[in-house]
Amino acid sequence: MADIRHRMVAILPKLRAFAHSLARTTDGADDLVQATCEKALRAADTWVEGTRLDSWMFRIMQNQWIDQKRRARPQMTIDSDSASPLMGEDGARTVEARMTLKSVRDFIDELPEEQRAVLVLVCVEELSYREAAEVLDVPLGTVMSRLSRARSTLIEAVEGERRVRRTGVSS
Amino acid sequence: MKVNDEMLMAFVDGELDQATAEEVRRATARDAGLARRADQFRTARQWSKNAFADILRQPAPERLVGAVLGRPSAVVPLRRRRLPSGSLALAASIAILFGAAGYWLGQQHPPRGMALLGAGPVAQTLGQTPSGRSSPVAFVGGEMRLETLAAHKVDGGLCRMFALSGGAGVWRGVGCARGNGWTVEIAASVPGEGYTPASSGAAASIDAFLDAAGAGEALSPEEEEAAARTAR
Repeated sequence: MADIRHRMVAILPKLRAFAHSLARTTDGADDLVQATCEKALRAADTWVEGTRLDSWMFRIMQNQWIDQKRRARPQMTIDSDSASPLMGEDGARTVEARMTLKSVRDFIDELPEEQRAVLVLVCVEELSYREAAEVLDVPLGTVMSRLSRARSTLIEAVEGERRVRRTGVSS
Repeated sequence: MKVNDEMLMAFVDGELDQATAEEVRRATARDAGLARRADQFRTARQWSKNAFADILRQPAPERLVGAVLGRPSAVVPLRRRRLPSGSLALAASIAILFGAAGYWLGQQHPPRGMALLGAGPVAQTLGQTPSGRSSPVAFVGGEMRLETLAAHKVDGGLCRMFALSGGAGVWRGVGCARGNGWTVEIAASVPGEGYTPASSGAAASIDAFLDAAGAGEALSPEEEEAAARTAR
């Protein structure tokens, strides 16, 4: 048991990265990681030695997140971490756009949740498509279509942003 | 064969079987548009990885470490904590060190301007200093000497244990390359010179850290050189 605890601590950064992809705020992500760790410790005897601990915990996290959303009343959350300055709504817009260039993280945050999750599992956590499918409990084909859409959107968004940066004209 | 987006993506992700991958490779060699699209998928993967690099490097907050180790009392703000001495403190210092991925132990702070932890100059120097060698590390107002004591393969990369000494004190620590560049993950200030009994807590805790990271035996110079070539 002590051993699995130490292994969990060692993968906390990975857990936090996936939690960010779901919750999108630092506090929300850390709450999710904590709830996930507590759940995982209670179920530690169901983890099979020799299998990936991170995948097993991502799956617990994914389920925890779904439960959490189901329980939560619909509400607007204000994300203080990533709140970006409001863009001007007039002629100053172009200038504003150049001043508030978005980062790739912002674009990822704007993707639909199911696309974010698969993008982070594969491209950040480096799971295989099959492992990601198991974590998310969806077919392999779904992983591929979500991942391909997420990456296409990201490419377009970032290239669009670069055009703005180059020419100062937003399309 | 019609090559679509999903196939190109699976190709760059190494998810296609050999025969299909070969077909896609040929198709991208013939068609510059396909090659460019494949490249975009590769780039988007790298962007995503980079976008989360800061989270992956950050030390986990103490409350999470406490939640996992179940010893919240052991996880106090480390910057003010004295390095526990002797073996009685071993259990506690393991907890601290794991919690401390990114903290240092002991009462002594690194000199101002010397980023000991994270991806600073110490990590960079460590990345270029194989076991048994030493290199200078400059910081504002002085210089210290970094000596790499050993190298270990760990899950997802390579770690080096080091000693850092100079006028400002003595530290021991571990830095690793686990896909995000060399990063100093833990460090402990060692009171006094050398391996006094008071430093055994730090040494044992660093060993425990390496154990939990999946480190095996120390690598031979040849093994280390080979591992370092691919360590990022």
